[in-house]
Amino acid sequence: MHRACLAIAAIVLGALALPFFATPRLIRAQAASTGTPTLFQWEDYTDPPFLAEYRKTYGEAPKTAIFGDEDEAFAKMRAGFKPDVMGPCYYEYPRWQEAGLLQPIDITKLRNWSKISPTLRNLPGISAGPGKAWFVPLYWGNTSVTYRTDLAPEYVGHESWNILFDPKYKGRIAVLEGVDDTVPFVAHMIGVDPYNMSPADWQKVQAKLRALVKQLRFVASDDTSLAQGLASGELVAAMSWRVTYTTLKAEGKRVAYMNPPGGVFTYVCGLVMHKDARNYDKALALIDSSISDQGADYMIKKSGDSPANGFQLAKEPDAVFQSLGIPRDMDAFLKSGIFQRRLKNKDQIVNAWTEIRAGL
Amino acid sequence: MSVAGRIEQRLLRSEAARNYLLISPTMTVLVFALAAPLALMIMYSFWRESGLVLDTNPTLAQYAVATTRAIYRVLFLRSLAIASLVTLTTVVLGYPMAYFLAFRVKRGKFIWLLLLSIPFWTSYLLRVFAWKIILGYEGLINSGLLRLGLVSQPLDFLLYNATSVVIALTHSYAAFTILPIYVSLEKIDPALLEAAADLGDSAFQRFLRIVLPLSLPGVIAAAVLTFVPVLGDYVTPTLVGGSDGLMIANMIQVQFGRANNWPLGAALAVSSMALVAVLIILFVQAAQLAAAKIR
Amino acid sequence: MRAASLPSTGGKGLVLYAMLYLAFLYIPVLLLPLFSFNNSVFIAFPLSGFTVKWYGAMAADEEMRAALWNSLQVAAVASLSSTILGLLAAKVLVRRVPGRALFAGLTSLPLFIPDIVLAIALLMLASKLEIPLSLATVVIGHIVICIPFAVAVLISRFHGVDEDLEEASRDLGENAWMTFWRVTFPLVLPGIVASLLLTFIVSFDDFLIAFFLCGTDTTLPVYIWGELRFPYKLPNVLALGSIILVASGSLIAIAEWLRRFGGGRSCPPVRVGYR
Repeated sequence: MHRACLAIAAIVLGALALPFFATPRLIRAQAASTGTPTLFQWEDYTDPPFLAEYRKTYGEAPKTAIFGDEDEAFAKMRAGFKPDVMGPCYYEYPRWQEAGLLQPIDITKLRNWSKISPTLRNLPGISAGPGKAWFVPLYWGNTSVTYRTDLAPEYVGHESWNILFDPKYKGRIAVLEGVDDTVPFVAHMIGVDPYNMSPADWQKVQAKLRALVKQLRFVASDDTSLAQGLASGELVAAMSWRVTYTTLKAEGKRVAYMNPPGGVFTYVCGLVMHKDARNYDKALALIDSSISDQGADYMIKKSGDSPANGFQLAKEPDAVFQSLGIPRDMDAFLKSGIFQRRLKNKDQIVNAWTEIRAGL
Repeated sequence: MSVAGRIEQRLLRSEAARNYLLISPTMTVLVFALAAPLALMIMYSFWRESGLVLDTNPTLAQYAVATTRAIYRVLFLRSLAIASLVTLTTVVLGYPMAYFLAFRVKRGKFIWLLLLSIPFWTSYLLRVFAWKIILGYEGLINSGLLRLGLVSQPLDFLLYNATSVVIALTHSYAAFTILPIYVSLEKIDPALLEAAADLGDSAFQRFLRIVLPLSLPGVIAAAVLTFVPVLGDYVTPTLVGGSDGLMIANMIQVQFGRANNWPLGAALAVSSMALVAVLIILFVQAAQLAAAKIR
Repeated sequence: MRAASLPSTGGKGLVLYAMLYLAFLYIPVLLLPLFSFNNSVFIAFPLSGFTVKWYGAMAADEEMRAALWNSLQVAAVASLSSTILGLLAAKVLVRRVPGRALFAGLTSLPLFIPDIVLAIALLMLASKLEIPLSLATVVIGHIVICIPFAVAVLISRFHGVDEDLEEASRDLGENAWMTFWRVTFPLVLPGIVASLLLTFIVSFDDFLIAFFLCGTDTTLPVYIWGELRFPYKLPNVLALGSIILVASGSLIAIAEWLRRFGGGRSCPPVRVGYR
């Protein structure tokens, strides 16, 4: 019988499957019980420079798991996944705290805590009592509008977020999908405090969102689509993070990042510790390792987000600050912006936004 | 013969017992793995959640929301429309390909099967991005048209709407359609076709009276294997659908993630599952009736 | 064999169609290598010069290679297991067994349950049973979603495989296993190959279940999904996709070489069976 083809398939599959059974997975998983902590983070933040200090201290590599979306990460933990250190953003972690997933972090034991910019160390709500914090800032970035200076020259020097509503650019605008970015943005534009909205305020914001949707080419679930759209000229302006701007600038595209009179939004992301962390000291060391100078240096060079560890950043030459687009006095800059924090009634807002997007 | 041997003989002789034994590993895996999701879904759909607090008093509130709020109706109908269109195009486009593979390729069928599968070994996300490159503003089609001077501005209706979702999904699910159809066409005995030819049937008549009915199980399988997953696909609509392309799966996803309302998500899941199951059953019945009529 | 001389099964039109169809399948995918050599982070025309730096970056990206390797292993195990389980089920489902409808419904059920529900529920199950998350849990999740595909493909092959043949074989003295191996198995061979291919694709492409059920070892779709947040990483992913293409292409070359080496016999057999 001509079984040659099945033989090929079986051989290839067998060759792939064999290593699977060869590595004793349950045993490896048991190793976790010796307390080696697991870091559950956005993808780039599990790279070696963030783990280097930990490795030096304990002589072992910590385990890492990644997520691409905080909501999925939250669902995964609620369903039973137990990492030790996690990396949510400032507007997201309160939900995790309320779900009973976190425990306070002893900041007196963090060697690198004092290197973090004072404004960030004193973010409202992160303190868990003297010497303790729920949330350790790791990096920050901005949310504003990136726009093509060659396609919308009239806005150069007259920067305003109203470009998103400019009828001239209908169909060439994009915004981010997350309500934590888009809703505060739009609320701010009509003078509403997004973090203290009355029902009447919320109605106004919804109306503005409906007007916005008519202008959109698409709603971006990821940064890459935004950057691609702006690069090709498909988009004239997009509500985006600073990193979109720096990536485009680095490739020589004619873009600018708006710094309008009202100030820009700032998101801060950092580290929290799981309530059931297997080894408190090791988890602490892992946090310390992430906010170290080495991590900060790596961030500056690679990811386009700015490190919370201002100590390392201060050592860099002016050129670096220019390419990042931020002034030298990081602290002052942070004070002038608006921190993106937790929205009240987020579930309601999410549902409303989804309906508005669908055209209802 | 030993006692055990005799029991084994009797067991094996009992046809039903033999069958149950054969199917038991598969059933065990399924029951074990599916009991939890089903139980979870059904239980949660009768509960309520506000903030992070689960209220386990049974209530039909979620089903009320799922069936009355306009958005779920709109999205469900849109998803049905897109899924039906995708299924139709993949089956219609894929059938001739499967036919070619089954009847015209004499040697190296396995090579062809591999050839047809390889595009699907690059990751799903990459394939969707590839369609963005083709349909995009400075993409393949637009650059080509501009270069040839056929248009002065890039066409912007190619991407970020329901059409691009259909195109991308038709591409992504091609393998799901071709393989089942191929398998059932492959089975057809050429002797039947020869006999029909000898008796005077034309090529078209042979196709209609022999090939089509005999391949119908494969076509039905292909349709179901394409329709149901497409209905549950939320990635492609997110990436190339624009605001126009949201499907019901996105909504269910949102309830379990962002909106943090597992009960509503469960109710939506149960409702859409039930509706789809009914539709599929109706479809299969209709298809089998049609097959009987052709014969 | 007279099939070769059957008056046109489609004629030249069909060959042309097949070529066009292949083009439709491949053009999007061939764009990946094209832009993986493009000297720009952004994928748009016109091209901006040739470079291999993305391949260098990809080679240096240990996590991505690990993710690819994990995905391959998981897909291999999942496709083999689900095909075997599907084979057992399909064999029974084509016969008149009491309770057949129930079994059939159960094997298609995973297809109808939304992925997110399945993923979360299986994770909750694993936590309750205190099973640590790893690629093994991902494999189990994948086997569950692959079974409907395996069963569907195999059933359409099993239809019409004559029970009499098997009975005859048994009457002639063969035991059950040998009957299967020498009579049934060759008849359903194309179905098995198709099932392996299809379930491999299903497992390799799955994102949601892999995300929820994986521990510290990720799979490729999960990794790529995380990468999308960083625009400058897209070309690395394209480079990876191109490597996958080339590797699979070489698989074809090997298969073709084996075929010629095996004396040019067609594979799987062109026509087997008496029904």
